[in-house]
Amino acid sequence: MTSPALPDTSLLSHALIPTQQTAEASEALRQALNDDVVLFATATVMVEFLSLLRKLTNKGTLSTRESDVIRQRLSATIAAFLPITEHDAHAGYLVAARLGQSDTFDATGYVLAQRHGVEFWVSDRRFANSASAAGLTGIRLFA
Amino acid sequence: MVNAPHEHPTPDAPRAAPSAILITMDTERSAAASLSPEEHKAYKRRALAALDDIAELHREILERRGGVVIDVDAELAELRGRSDESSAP
Repeated sequence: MTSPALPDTSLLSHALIPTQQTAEASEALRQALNDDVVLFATATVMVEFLSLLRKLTNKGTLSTRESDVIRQRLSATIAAFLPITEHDAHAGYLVAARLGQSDTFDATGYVLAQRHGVEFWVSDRRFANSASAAGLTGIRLFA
Repeated sequence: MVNAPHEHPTPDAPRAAPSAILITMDTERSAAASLSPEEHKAYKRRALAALDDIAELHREILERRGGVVIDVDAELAELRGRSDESSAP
């Protein structure tokens, strides 16, 4: 029996880019895959992650080859994409407003995860804490 | 919790943004657990192999950077226009 999960951009970034939390994030994904978790993504997560890669490449933090390898491996870790509708985007805005977030990225991810019956995995403690305080469920914090 | 019904306005009807949150599970769109056993097996194999490749790449990157890790949280915050915030609680 597989269980689906939707990692946020931050968790994927920590798992696929060498950061202070990479060891833990990579191990969490590896453990999840071994436990038959299937990872999903949204178009917004992809766009944001790839924007981050462009930013790091333009700054010279990552080489073009390194970014390309990370980009390809990102696709390999994602089983499928969850579609997003206009309503999802608006619902993301409303959730972000409820949580006092200054952007809708994670809130929209949460909406899509809920819509598709998928657990939302985050490494952003601020979002997780706000969501927990607001009584939102279905969120797992990796930090 | 919030609900965003899937309305399809007629061409003459004004399009309105929802003003209340309603998130209901959409069983029609819930393709999340729909991988066949074969697809799942192939997915797991390629995803784990990707993580192995990434671990090797990280060693290269860190060697080139003299062991200095990348502050992804700060980069993401800047990308999101949150340069005055961090992901800390």
